[in-house]
Amino acid sequence: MSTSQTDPPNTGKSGIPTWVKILVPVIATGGLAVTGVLVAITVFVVTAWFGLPLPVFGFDEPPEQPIAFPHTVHAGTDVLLDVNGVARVGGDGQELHGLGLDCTFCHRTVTTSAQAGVPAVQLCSFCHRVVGAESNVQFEQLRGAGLEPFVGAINWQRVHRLPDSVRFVHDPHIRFLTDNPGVIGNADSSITGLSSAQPAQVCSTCHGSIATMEKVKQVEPLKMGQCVNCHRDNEAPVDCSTCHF
Amino acid sequence: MVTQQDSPYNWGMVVDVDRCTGCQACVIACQAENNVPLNTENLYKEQRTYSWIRVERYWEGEFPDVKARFIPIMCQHCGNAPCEPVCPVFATYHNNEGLNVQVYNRCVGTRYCAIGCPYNVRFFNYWEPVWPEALRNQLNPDVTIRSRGIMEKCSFCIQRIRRAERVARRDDRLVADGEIQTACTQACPTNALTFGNLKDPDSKVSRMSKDRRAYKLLDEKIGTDPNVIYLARVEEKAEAVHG
Amino acid sequence: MADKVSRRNFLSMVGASTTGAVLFVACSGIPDEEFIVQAPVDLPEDLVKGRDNWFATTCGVCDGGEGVIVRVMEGRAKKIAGNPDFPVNMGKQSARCDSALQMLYHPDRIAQPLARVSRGSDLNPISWDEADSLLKRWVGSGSVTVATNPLRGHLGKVASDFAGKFGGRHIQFDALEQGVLHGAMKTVFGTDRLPEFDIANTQTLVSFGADFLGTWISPTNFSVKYGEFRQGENRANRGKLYQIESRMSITAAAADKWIPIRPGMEGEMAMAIANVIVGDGLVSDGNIARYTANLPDGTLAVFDLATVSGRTGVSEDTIRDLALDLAANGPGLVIGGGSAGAHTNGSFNLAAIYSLNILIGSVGTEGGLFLNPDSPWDGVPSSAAGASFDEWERELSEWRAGNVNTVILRRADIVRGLPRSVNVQQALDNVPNIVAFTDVLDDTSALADLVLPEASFLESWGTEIPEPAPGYQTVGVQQPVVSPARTRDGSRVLSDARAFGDVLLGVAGGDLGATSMKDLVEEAVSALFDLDRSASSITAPTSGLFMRGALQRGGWWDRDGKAASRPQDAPPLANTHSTPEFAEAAGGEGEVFYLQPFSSIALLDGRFASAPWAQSTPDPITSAAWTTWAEINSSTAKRLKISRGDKLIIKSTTGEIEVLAYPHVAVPPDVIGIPIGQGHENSGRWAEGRGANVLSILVDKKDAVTGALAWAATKVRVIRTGLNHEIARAEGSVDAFEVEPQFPIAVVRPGESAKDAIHAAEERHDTYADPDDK
Repeated sequence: MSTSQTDPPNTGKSGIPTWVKILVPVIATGGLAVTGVLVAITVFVVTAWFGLPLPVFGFDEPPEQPIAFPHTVHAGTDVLLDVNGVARVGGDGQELHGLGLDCTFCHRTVTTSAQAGVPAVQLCSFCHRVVGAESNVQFEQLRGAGLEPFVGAINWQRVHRLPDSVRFVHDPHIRFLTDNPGVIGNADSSITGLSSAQPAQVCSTCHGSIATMEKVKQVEPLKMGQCVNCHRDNEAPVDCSTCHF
Repeated sequence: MVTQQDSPYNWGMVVDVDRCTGCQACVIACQAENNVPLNTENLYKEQRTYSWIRVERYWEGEFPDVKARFIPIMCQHCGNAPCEPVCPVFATYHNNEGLNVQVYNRCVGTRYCAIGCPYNVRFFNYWEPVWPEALRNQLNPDVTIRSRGIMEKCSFCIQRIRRAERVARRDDRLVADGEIQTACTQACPTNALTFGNLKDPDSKVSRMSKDRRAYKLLDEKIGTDPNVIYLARVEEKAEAVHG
Repeated sequence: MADKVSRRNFLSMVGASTTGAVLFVACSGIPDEEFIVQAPVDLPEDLVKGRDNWFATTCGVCDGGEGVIVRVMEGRAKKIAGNPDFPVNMGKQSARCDSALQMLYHPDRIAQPLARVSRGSDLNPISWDEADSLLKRWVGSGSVTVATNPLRGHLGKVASDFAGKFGGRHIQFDALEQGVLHGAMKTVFGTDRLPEFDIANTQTLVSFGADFLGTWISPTNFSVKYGEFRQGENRANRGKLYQIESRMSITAAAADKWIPIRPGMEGEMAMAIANVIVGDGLVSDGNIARYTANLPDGTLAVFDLATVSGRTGVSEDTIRDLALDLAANGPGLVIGGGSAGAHTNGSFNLAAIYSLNILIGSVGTEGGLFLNPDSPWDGVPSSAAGASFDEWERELSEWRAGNVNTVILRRADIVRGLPRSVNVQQALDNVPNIVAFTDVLDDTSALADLVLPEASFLESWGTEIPEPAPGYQTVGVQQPVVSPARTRDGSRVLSDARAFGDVLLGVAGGDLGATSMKDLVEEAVSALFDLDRSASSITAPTSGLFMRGALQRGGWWDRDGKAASRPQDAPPLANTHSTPEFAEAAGGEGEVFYLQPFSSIALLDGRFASAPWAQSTPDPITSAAWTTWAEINSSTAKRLKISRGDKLIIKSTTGEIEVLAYPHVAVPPDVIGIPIGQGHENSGRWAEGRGANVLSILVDKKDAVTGALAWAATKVRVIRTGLNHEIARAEGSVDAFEVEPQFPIAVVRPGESAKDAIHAAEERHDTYADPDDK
């Protein structure tokens, strides 16, 4: 054993003061607990965030539909534009306009029941048996040549969705707004002066101007505040169980 | 928060105990109508079954002079409900049509109301309701499915009430007597259950509620003022029973 | 997407999520497709119209032939309720009706035809084309037996025509066969068809063994009338009901007086009642003459009160009071069935019981019973009962002898339902080809070589002739009301099922007069149109509109199409009289009891066992569910140190089962009551391996006249195992006792007000409560 070898300096058993030894685990545990709580809160908030059906908050990208159904062509009346923004021209050299169909032409049950209703493929093919480009796959599908991807039905993606606890019923709203054009949101003076409103005007209260949308998206938040404000302004019932049951 | 407008309706039910045979038809009809979760064997063993309406059986006497008597019990829709003031979030309240309403999306699951209820007709969802995929085809789209952590109870089939009221409003009239049948009254094979508008003096329930046999559960003791009226069972030797 | 939401929106959302989180967060696991109709791919029809329709059809599961309406949204059935138009159940339903929905959408429903290469190998999916050709080849070789549940209407005709064409027979199976009842009807009234019981207008109703409010024949029909019997608005007095039964059923609970009787002695008590009425001359001489026309002198004297009281265990006073009441307070009605007919002397019992109606003059009078007319269709079975046990024994011996090539089974769970002594399984082993139509594999179809998914009554065409009919000609029309449900991705239907009748007609290739049940139904309804009845429920100018009317109303009836109900002479009763014999219990330890099997209110004989609603329906008397229990008298149980939930071995000479004890006060001390309906080895996830099958320990005693199984004639030994399990039941952990007088059930005397009764009880300071109990 060499004398040059030095013993390590004696600092007691570990060299750390006792109060530190007690405090560190306390702080560590406390810190862990706080972290745990924070993580829990974050997880809760994030789950709540993603647990919410996002469309309820609106304003997101319109969903891709299994068939590119342009409301502009069917319900709109404006000049139709092609992908380059140039007006489309028909065989007779005239500019093509939207068809201007009434909303209720397809959404037939909106005035009589809870659901607006989605028409059967049969209704589409009633026109598209004749109308529409020959080379377009989707028209061919509608004509029944290859309905395989639809399994007998088109799986439309829902755009407007309310939380599960809400029972929204279309028909009384449609009736009220039709009879009271002044109530319709974004109403211009041309509507307010009328004794009754057109379906497209009525529907626009909550759905915006669908006829101008190439792809339909939600434009109004459709949250409870919006419902209640309108109900209150128009002396409609604001009893919770009007909509929640 | 809730403005109480006058309503021409005060929904109520009359239960004729003398007609009830305890057959359970109301119990299952209610579960089918209202998306009540499946009452599994374990739920029974844990005493946590959901049964918006149940049939209680009471024994009296000893063999062979023994009687079994049945009474259906559902939410009494009390005019002065013990469950309502205890709710901290106003998720249960009395509406202007005499219904004791449970607002699912307000409920935070304190379960105070269940403790407050003297009739034990409120049920707490301790678990997420589950159905195998195929069975979901049957679920009623008019009724919200209650998720975990929420109280539920008999709603007097409010979805049927709302629908009838909507139709009546469209036709600019009042809901006619007998137009609304709750799932249980529709099912009851002996017609022991009758549903209707207690505010209308000519309705069947109004007439029946004036019967000599009419009584309300616990009303005289604690003044709950239920909207469910019972008609007493008749027995020839009733005095011996209580003598 | 998230970046499109502003910070302000985000914060407001967090606020929303903390107060409203309970719903939203908890909901994240559940897709909300089923709340709102929104996913057309799930739907069989691509038109989403969000509106419901109620379609009328006929229920094909229970025995009574009730008319139902089905709420259908987007092709899916949501709710079943009684058809308010239909004269049998008048808009009402039983606890079992909605369970048919769960059988329709049962997750274990067979998706497509299954076949096995050889006995013992697994069932493998095959196509319908393969199944069809296999079936054609098998039946082509002749000697076909078609075994079904009792079938009325055109399906019954198709089944028996089919069996006839392929050189075989149609045999029907019913676990608790009604052959004795139909036989007694034939003896007493000269017709197989059950009569209409006018309970609504009866003043004194006496029922022997028939749980007519719970499970017997057509309980919904009887219950509707019972409601009127009690508190009908047009009645002067409340009716009085006596129930004579050796078990407390819900009918016994509803009765004004329940008279427990020694099992099998119901007939003798009926004779004693007749003896009092005849002896004291309580009814008209004409009635007495009719009743005694075929009774040799001195027959009734055998049944004097003292003797019968000793043999039945019913006091002399009780019998006398009942006889006086029945004779004095008319109109009276006497019905019987169920356990009263399930003895070796069952035919005598029921004949004696129904003959009392002749004595008190209740045949063809208001408040009594009315004979039912024949069906409006010739050659279509209007009455059906299971073949007797005797016939089944003969049939099974044919199978054993190898004389039957092919057995086609449809809702005939004979492996589970016939007594063990006949060994159905071994008989089936000797049948080369076994075909089974079923929704969910049951214990018999699990043994089949070819299993075919059968369409529910909600998916198929048919006709029904209700029994008992409401006193006039009535038929039900069954139509498909739902489209086949698809899986969520839309790729396939949940069950590629076909209707039993359609498959049989298809295999017969048009030789049975039609190629589909739909054609048969249209033809049959058109025949009704041709009858051109003035009181027809449908008036239409053309046959097509008439058909539409029949579908809308769920059937057709003619209130004038009645049968003549003439008073007639009672049959000779003396020659069939015998003392009931019981299969004695096996030797060994344990006390001996009369075994009283009874139909469960929700499962009946077990046909509803696959549905979770049926499984979870609390038994009205015990509130037990999901299991098999044994009802035993509470004093007896105390003596034998048996408490609730004790596992008991119930042992007969042919087998034993294990059940949980449920002691209560309303069981005769020497009887043990066990519900039928559980103990399935198959039948889907909710039924498999649950409870015990009491039918399996019945000993093969038979009714002396009809050869029917005497299912209440077995004695058993009850042995404790020392184990105890909790019974799933609705009631609290203690027995329900009234906590204070008149709460919650107020009981009044006739004419007394509830208020007076409640106050009078309080005056007397009545208490029932054991403070420790609920």
